[in-house]
Amino acid sequence: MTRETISAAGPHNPGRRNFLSAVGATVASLQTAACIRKPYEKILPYAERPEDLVPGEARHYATVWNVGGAVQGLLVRSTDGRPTKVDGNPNHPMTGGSTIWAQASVLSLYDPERSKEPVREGEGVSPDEAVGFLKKLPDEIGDGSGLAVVVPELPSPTADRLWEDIRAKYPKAELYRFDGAGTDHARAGAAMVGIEGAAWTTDGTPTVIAAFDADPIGTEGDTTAFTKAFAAGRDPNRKPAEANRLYVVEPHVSITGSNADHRMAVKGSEVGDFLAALAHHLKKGGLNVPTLDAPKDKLDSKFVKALAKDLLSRKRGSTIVMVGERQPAHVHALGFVLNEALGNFGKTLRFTKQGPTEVGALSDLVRRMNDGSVKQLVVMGSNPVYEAPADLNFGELFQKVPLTIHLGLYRDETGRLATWHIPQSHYLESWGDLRAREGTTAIQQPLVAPLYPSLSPIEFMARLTGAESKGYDLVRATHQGAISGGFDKRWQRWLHDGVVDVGQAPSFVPSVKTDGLAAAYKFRAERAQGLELAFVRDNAVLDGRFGNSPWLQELPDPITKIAWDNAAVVSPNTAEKIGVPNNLEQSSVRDTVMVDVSVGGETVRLPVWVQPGTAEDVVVLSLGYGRKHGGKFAKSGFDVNSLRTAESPYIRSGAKVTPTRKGYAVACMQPEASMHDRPIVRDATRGDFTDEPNFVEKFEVMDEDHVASLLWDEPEYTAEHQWALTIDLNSCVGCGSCTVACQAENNIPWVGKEDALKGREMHWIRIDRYFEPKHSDQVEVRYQPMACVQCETAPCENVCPVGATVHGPEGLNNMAYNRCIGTRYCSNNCPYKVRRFNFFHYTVRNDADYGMGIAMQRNPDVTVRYRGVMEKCTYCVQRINKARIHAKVNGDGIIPDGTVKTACQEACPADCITFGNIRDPDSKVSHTREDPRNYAVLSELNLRPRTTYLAKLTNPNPDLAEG
Amino acid sequence: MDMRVSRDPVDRRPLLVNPPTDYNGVTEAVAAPIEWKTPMGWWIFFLVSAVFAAMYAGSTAYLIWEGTGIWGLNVPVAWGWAIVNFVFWVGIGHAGTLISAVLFLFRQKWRTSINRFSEAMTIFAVVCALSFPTIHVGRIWLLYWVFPVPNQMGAWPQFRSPLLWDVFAVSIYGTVSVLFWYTGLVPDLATMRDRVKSKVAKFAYGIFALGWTGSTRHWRHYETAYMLLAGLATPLVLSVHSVVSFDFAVSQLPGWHTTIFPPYFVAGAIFSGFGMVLTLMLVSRVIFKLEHIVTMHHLDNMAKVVLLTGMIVGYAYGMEFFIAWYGGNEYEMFAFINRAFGPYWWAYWSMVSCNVLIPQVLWFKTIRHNVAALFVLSIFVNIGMWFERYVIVITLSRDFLPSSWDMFYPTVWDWAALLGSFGLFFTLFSLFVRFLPMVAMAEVKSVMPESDPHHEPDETEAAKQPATATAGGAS
Repeated sequence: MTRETISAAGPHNPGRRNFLSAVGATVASLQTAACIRKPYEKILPYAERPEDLVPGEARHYATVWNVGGAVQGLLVRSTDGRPTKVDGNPNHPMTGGSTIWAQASVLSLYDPERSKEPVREGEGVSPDEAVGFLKKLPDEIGDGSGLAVVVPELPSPTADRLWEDIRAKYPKAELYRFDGAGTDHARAGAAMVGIEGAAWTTDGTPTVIAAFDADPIGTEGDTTAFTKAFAAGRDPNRKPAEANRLYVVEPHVSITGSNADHRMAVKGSEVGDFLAALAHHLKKGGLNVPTLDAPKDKLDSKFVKALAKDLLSRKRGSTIVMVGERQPAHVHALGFVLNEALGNFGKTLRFTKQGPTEVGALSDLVRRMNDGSVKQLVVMGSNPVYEAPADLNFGELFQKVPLTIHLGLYRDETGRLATWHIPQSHYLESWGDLRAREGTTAIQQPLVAPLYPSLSPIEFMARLTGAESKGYDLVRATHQGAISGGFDKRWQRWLHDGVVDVGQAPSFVPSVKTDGLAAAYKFRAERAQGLELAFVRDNAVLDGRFGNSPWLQELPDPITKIAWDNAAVVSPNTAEKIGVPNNLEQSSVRDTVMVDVSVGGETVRLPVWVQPGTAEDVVVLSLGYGRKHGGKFAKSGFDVNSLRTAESPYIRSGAKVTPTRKGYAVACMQPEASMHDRPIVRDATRGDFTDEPNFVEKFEVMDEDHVASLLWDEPEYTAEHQWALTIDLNSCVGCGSCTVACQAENNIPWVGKEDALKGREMHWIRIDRYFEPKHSDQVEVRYQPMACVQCETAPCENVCPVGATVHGPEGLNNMAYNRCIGTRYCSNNCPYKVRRFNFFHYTVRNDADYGMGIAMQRNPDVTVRYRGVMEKCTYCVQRINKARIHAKVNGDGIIPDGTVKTACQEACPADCITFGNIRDPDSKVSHTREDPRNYAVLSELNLRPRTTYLAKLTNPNPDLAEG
Repeated sequence: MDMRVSRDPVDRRPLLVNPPTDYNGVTEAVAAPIEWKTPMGWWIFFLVSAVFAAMYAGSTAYLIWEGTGIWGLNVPVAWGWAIVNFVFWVGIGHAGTLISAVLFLFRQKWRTSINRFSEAMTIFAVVCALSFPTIHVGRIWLLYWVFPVPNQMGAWPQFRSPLLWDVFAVSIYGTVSVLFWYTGLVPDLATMRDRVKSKVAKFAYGIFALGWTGSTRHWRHYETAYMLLAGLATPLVLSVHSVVSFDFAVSQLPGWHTTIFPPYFVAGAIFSGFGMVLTLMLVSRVIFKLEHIVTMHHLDNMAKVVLLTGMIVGYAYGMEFFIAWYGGNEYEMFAFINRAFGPYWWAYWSMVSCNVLIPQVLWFKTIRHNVAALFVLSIFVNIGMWFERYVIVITLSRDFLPSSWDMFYPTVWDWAALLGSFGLFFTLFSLFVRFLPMVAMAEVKSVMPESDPHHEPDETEAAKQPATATAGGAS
């Protein structure tokens, strides 16, 4: 520009004006280059402010979502129009707290890699073009003889209604269900004993819970509701007969297994044998159960005998036998039969009539695709190209179908191969409705208008029939008929409460047919030798759908503590057999080796990981990793779907594992698993607790007189509110919801695998997991959520040279981020190591990774931390302050008990966290601190932490006491 | 070389300058390296050092740009090599004050040959040491907050923090060391002023010589000032490293929270300081032909100090273990067992070998008088003392809750800072040997027999032995 200006003026006779303008232009351009200009933005004030909307004041809206058919009512916080936090809706019957997935779902709304435009044959097109295509689609479909629609688990009354519309319009169309977190096996098992068109659910109230490869606390079913009742069922104040006891038989250590009172690690293929053996013993005990074939060693199992005795000794209808989705249909069928015989139907196992009937499975669809009778294939909200077992060869067949349409949040593996990809609206952008398995319907209301041109599943279904209805109208149309008159008022109430108070799915008690069972329950006489592969849904990314969430990728697996990866998990003995070193016994636990896992001609190379408690000769492979087109975060880990078969998608025998010479570093966030006999997590059996209620004192390292004296003056805590928190280890199941909730609430950055490997994770609350391996396949797991415990005599404070961490009058150990210069001495002197340091500018790195998205999610009430600054748990001080302002404006300034809930507390499905004011002797936390199980971790250091723990109680079966 | 020792004609002690020479001989010998045409060897040494120093500067620039995450730090090991290096260099700096001040007050005349050298080393070591806590903080641009700077916010440093004590202790130590060194330099700078030919050099030496004429009045003031500074510096020998040890001892970490740390750190510092003086001296005295001024007698004395302090340090290692057991604190016990047999066992045993076992060879006079052996030994001491600090800092890796245990792995930037700090040290050192008299000429002269002339002829028995007193060619 400068040169042009000058040359325009002419080199020979520049002239004064031209010269000056050239100089001006030069200076201006230099200035532009020298300054970093603030981005240009418009600030638009509310000319007319909507009623009740105070800028900066968060609002909450009720909505609902589902994962694999598990419906959860949610309460979403909207800050200035942006959804910033998701929590469980306490009004909803299937919700207590929330899952990690619900917590992380708010981030996925802003995922910059979400699908943003329709794509036709690999090329992005305008939304209008997609609309035009959908308009013409009915003509192409004709009578529907070539139409196949694949739906995920979508228990929505509106979807059911729209399906009827579709079927009316295209009588020959076929519906198939595919969901990586679905319940196909359970459904097939139910059908085997004659239960159809039903949904069922188990909450955690039973007194004996026998989980056969089931993971109701972690990855299967209505986990939050189950966990809430399960934790309540372990209340120490319950009478022994009412306190629950959890038995688990499984190949891998699941979250449920880690909470078991008795756990047996067996191959996945043998779980059914154990169930048959249980049936045998129950029959001997007088129950009406068909005789099934069970191997002798299983029949003689002490575990099974004790379990049968325990089940029989309880009140009828107060127990449950659970079978996990990983088990084949006939095992589920037997599970139903046993529950019926135990009187659990309608009591601990409740059925409701719902769902469309005549839904095929994916294998049925593949059969039709093979014979070429599918002409138009619609895949809604699932990703079979990635997730379907490899032997179905789905991807290839998919491409052969003349017209394929994919509706998805991401242009994922399926979306890439589809003729048309249509962006799907996020649930926080959509109208909808979902009916829980328990029967209650809730309205899904959007928090924001779709960020990108997209369609919600029900809008898309309507388009298939040629209608262009809006989601709002579709949902209203479904429910309008349910009541007579005054619909709008009721509708408002439903939206406000988050539940629909009419139209409950009818509950019923089915009867079971046992005639076909014995035939179905055939045992493979000769079992394949060699290793057995156990495919499990991942505790963080599930089937891969949550793979692109950096929060979930960085959330360590509750058991292995691995983040950002999956691995071939084996027991120590099996590792020895395979010939790989036991990485847990090396000082650099994270360094492991790659192994080739091969079966049926397919090989996957992935790192091996030793996990005590895993069944012998089993290799556990987590699903959902190593996605090719799931986004940059979803790429991490290794795709193991190629090793699966449709016939037995979760268990495969005859595998071979060959060690390679290649090393691999796994980001394990807790390399040390042993407690080293330190009194950190204290526990006792229920029996011992009854005999000695003050048992926690036995663990003390130093007697109280020694500890009590202080070198300094007693700190004075005279403020009206003295905050404290208790964590009941007896309830905590280790799920990790608190960690993700805290991350969402407190703007905690993720650090990425590289830094996670170095041990720089930023989680303010982590879950410490300890286990003492008894034998190679036996393990007892203990969880302990650990965040800043807010010591009254905090050791971090007196070592800071600039006084950046100081005590507040209410007992909080405050961090003045602006004052922190980053010497990190506080972290060194913190015996709990709960302080987190911004070794890099993680916030800015996240911004770079996530664009504006992460900024939209951030909580404006919480400071975003700079690099070089220490941070840690604040007891959600922003919530305290908000409540304080409210109390001062509206009352006497005293915050009533229960008004402030910390993010972790709100998220906890097990209600293990209690927070409140200990100056108030009637507050809940004052009571929990009075509990005889209450103790302070590292009490001998005399730090007087405000966070204390309630010891764990186990409830072992006396008959198995020796185990 | 004649191994017989020349003795003082009066008190029959071995002469410190041996073979003896006269005043002029000392001046010529010391001034020679400054007046030589710059040798190629110096350029090579200087440039190599400067490249490493530049690497330090570069890595520090990247550190400030990107964040402390470029090092291998994590939680729990939030302090890494920066603090290891800091304590290491502060320790090195201890020999200077000890030799200058404490030995001066104790009238140890042999110190005169090595005090300038070790004082210079002290200052350069303190420069290196100070650089580390400066750059290791997360937000270096706010580091001035550790100083009590009055401000409108009324925000003051937090005086209970050992890190703050460090700020004062080390900066005072640095200041006093520089003053002490400079005061001692004044007469020698005047000598150089009078000798050099170049106008620029004359001017520069002249400025720093502060108009020294060598008058009796000057000498009187000089010696009083020197004495006072020595008195001032003496407590610093004990205080600085005691305060540095508080960084660890005042915390509550097992393995750090021990009362033995202050004396143990001071002994270790003297040990490492003498180790470094030996390393540098053994080479310099040969290159610069100062063997008659820094004699075997000096080396022998220094070796004995190394032996003594090495054993004090060894005692401390043993006592730490004993107290960990005797104290009955299981965390403490674990920390020490973990040091010796945990994942960092190699660092611990390197430390014990280098600091305690290997120096035991100094019991033998043949070793003490073997320059090559002493040099190798001094390198071991340097390595051992670096490892000592590493072992202490890495104690962080395993503290109270096993859940937070983790390992520390240095990155290339950790190495750059460590090696770079050596580059900085040797750059400064090479400038020193090139431009300043590396032996205190005036002080050496003051301990020569000529400085203490006696009227009475020597009547002792030894003097009557023929051809002993003057052997070595002092004629």
